[in-house]
Parts: sequence; C-alpha cells; structure tokens
Amino acid sequence: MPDTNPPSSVRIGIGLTALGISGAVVTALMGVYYAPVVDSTAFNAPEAYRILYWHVPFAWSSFLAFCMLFIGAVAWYKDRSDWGWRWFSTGSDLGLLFGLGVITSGPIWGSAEWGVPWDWGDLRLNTFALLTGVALFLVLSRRSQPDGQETRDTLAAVGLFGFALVPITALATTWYQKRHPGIVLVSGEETGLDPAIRTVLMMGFVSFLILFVGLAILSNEVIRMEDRLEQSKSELDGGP
Amino acid sequence: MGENGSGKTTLIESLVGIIPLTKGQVEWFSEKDEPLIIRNHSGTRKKPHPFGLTLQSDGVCGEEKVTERLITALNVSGIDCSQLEAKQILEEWGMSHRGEDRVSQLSAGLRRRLAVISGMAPAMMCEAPRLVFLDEPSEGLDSFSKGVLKKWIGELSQYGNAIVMASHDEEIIACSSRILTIESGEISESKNNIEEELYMERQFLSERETKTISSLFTWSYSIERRNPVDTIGKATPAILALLLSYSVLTGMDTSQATLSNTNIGNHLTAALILTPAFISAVISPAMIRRLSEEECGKWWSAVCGPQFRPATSIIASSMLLPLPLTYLSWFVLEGSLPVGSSEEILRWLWLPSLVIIDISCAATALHLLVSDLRRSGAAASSLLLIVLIWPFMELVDALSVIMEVGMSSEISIGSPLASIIIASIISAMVWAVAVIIPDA
Repeated sequence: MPDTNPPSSVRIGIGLTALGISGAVVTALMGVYYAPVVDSTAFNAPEAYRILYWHVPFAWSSFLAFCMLFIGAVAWYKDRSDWGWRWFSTGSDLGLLFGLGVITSGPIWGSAEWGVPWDWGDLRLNTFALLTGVALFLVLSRRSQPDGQETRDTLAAVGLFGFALVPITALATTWYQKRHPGIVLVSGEETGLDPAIRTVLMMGFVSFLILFVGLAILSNEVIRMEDRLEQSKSELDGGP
Repeated sequence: MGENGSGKTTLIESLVGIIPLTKGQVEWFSEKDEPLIIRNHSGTRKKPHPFGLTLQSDGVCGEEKVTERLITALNVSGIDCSQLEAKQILEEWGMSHRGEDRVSQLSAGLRRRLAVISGMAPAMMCEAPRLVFLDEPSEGLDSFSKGVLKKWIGELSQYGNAIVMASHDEEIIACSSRILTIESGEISESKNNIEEELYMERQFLSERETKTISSLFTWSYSIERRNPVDTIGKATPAILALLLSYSVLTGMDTSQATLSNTNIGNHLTAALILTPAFISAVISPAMIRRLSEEECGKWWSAVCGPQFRPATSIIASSMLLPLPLTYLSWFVLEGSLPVGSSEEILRWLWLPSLVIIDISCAATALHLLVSDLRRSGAAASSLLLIVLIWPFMELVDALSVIMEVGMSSEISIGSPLASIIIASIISAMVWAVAVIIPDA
C-alpha cells in the first residue's frame, strides 16, 4: 500500500495557514472592537481607517511575495534551477493573492478618505497594481501554457519585466504627480502611534507573515508534487 | 537520428538560435578557420551568417504567395532572385504552376515541399558554400519530391555545403556521411560511406549584402497590402470609440456656461481626441498573429538573429494610423466640444500623435513578448499594457495645456513639450525593457 499520509512539510503548511487565517480574523475583530477611533479632525473618514489593519499587512506580504518572484525569476534565468522556478511560481501565486488584497482594500479606504478610489499619481498604489497585474498574468499563463523550458523562460522574462516596471512606474508617477498635488493622508500635528493601534498592527503583521509562510510551504509542495507527477507521466510515455 | 522526444529538433533549434542555450556555445569558423562565437549560454547572440533553414513546422505564413516565399527566403540570405528565376526553381520541384497561389491554398504536402525548397535554395543558388539545417525534411513528401530532395542533398554536398538534418527516414539518412544518434540524452556518432554522383553544373544567382530586416519589412508590407487585417483590426475599434464619444457628447450640453457642472474640461476633451489613436496603438498587431502561424516567427527569428525582436516591434506597430485618427477625431468632435483656439490645436495635434507611435512600439514589444508562449492566444497580454496609461495621460495633459494656453517651446514640468518628451521617454523605456529582457 502506498503511503497516503501527507509529508510533514504539508502538515506544517496547513497548520501555519490555519494559524495565520485565525490571526487575521482576530486582527480584524480587534481592529473593529479594540482599536481606538482616530482623531476625526485629522481624517476625513475616521472609521474607515480600520481597514488599514489588513491593508498594511497585505502590502507587506505582497512585497515579500514579489521579492520571492523576482529572486525565483533571476535564479531560473541564471541556472534554470528547479528551486528558482518553485520560488517564482509561489511568488506569483502569493503576489496575486496578497496584491489583490492591497488593491481592493486600498481603494475602499481611498474612496472614503480621499473621495476617489484611485490616484494615478500615487507610486505605491500603482506599483502594487502593476505587479499584481503581472502576477495575474503569470498565474493564468502557468495554467494555460504547456510546461517546458521555453514557457518558463518567457514567463520568467515577464516576471523580470514586472520588476523593471517598478523604477519606470516610479518615474512616471513622480513626473505625473508634479502637476497634481500629492494627497495628504494625515494633516495636522505629527503624533506617534497609539499603543493600542500599534498592538493591532503588530498582530496583523505577525498573522499575515505566518499565513504567508504557511501558504508558501503549501504552494511549494504542490509545485514539487506537480513536477514529480509530470516526471512520472513522462517516464510512462516511453511505453511499458 | 533518435526516437520521438529525444531532442533532435531541440538540437537544431538551439543551433540556429531559436532555443536559448543552457550550456556550451555555437561557433562559426571563418574562411581563415578562426572560431567566432555566434551564441553562448551566457546570452551572447550575434547576427548569424546566412544559412538555409527548414523547420519541423513549415515556418510559412498562409498569407504568403509561393513565389514570394521563395524570393523572400533567398533575399534574406543575401541572394537576388527574380520572379522568373524563382519559377525555374519551383519548376524543378513541380510547383511552378502554384507560384501565384497563397500558401493557405496548398495541401500539407505542397506546403512541406515549399518549406524544404525555401530552406535549401539559399545554399543551392549561391556559389559560396553555406550551412543548411533541415528538420524532418522528407516528412509528408511524396516519392517524386523525395527524389528531388535527395538530388539536391547530393548537389549541395558536391559544392561543399554542409547540411545538418534531423530525420527518421532511412532513405534520407542514407544520404548522410556522418550520423549522430541521440539516445537517452547521449550522442553517438557513426560514419556512412555514400556513393558520390556527379551532377550537372548549376547556374548560381548573384549575391549581395544580406538585408534581413528590410526583407522582413517588405514581407510584412506586402502581406498587409494583400490582406489589410491589421489596419482594419486597429482602425475599427478606434473609429467605434470615436463614434461612441460623438454620440455621448451630442446628447450633452457642453457649452462653456455649463462646463463646471458637467466636468467637461480641456482634460476630457484632450482624452476624447487622443483615445481612438491610443486604442489603435495598443491592439495586438496582425503581424504577430502571422508570425505565430506554423512557427513562421521562429524562422524569421533564426534568420534575422538578435535584431528580430526590436525590428519586429517597430515594423508591426501602428505607424500610419495615429496621425489620421487623431485629426479625424478632432474634426468629428470639434463641433461638440467647448474648445478655444482651433488653429493652435490643429497646428500642434501631430506632436502627441507621433508619440502615440512610440506607445504603439512599446505595446507591440509587449505583445511580442507574450507571443513567445506556445499558446499565446491563451495569455492575457492586456494585463501587461496597463503601464502605458502614463504616457497616454502625459499626452492628454500636454494637449489640454495646448488647448488652454497654446504651445510653448519652454521645457519645464507642466509645459506641453515636457509632457510630450516624458510620454516618449516612458514608452521608450517600456519598449527597451520588453525587447532586451527576453533575449538577455
């Protein structure tokens, strides 16, 4: 009988993912019920700020995912290494997931606070949108294209193209913003973060980091298993 | 030789530069026997010396005419060939009566015959010895064509040309003097004694400097002239967008008095004028779809070398449409829009239109990058085009300033000239990145 028990890395991945999701839910509850209301004179929509308890950890996690994607793309391009491809694939999956979190939660807050959901002069917003677009392209293409070195080369090139867009976006938004005054996020006196706010934010960071690690382990294992399955199928192609 | 999937095609495509090398290098030995690295695994890719190539897929676009295809293959290789001379070559293969047919009208066997002729003719018609790569040349050929193929292989060999073939066909393998067998990734070599026949002396065609890029342009232009799907495919959505804008605007009160209420200002006006040209610029060019047919793009990429991607991204872009579309847009919308000095706008409208050509080149480079995928039709290339929104917005800004205060030669942030330069720089950077990374 073949061993049907999942490997220990999968069990760890599932455990961390469950823990991360629970932490994210607790962060949301703390953000709504525990975190204090901010100064209503400093914000146009003081209640809407609570979405930042998810938005900011989403942004950090997607930043980590995009870094993983970049490192994976470089490693694949340089040595055609399997680990590079797994990092690239995991980075694009997680970049899409967390990136979507950023670019949906951001405009919700922007609508309430700025009065507009999108600002073409905002660097971070646009960089995340472009990288999420690239990640979506990569995830869809990995599913629709036959796997092989040529496909991987092209997708790694698109991944690197996504990263080359970051400085271009920076220049484009900077030039564009020079005519459009930047949006003021916090007006009034500079104050430090309230300890309760800091606690909830830290809770969010840790939870999303655990979720990120859990999902990365699972994604990595799924890709490794897919590769093994494909290898076994190729061996069977030769006939009995 | 080798079983299915053993790597014969991979070897040929690696040698000609279609598949990037992961190890080793391809060297070309000059007449003085000095090695010149054409390609290596660290990304060196030089323009190849002219060679003949027949891919496993025919590498021919269905829109080409038979004679045109042969002449193109010879021209790319630096050989002048007239219609009459091409017809004589086709006659030898029993295809002269098909000379004016489009490739799409040919049967699979005839298409294969044409692909083989196009691969061998550059060496056959040239006095100086050349290299020829043939991938499964006899696949799908009838006994007559196979006979001509064997005769040509013998002749090429007699004149000192080198032929690299991948084949399962024993008859063709028997024509080879050196046989490499690929088995489980290992290459073994054996010699084969072939009986040399003496062939009649052939009349060679005149040679000239190779002009691969101008041949690519001529090829693209003549196909588009025959079937202008690119122009129509780009112009139709642009004109629809224009008519839609016109319909919406004619239903609105856009007089100056109500400007502040309806938010129709110079920005919106400029955006509406430039949108049709922008749409035509970002649509996937028909040339890229043509290059995807039967791996036609692979053939061009191999013969053109490293210049293929940058050249194609410019040739396939929307060069002619942005200017007329922008002026048409202006003339259609002018009556419905609250704009100031018409003369000043008319005088300078060409400038943002020209930058839309830059945007088009960048968009084409991105479409070309996506077309490298085997199932490019299944890839969402539009996701990569989002970055081009900035050059477009810069142009909208520039045009709106021209509408408001007129054109000035001043280059400072916010001036129309600076915005136009910035739009051009952003497009050029996106183009450069999309062209450089895949071949790096």
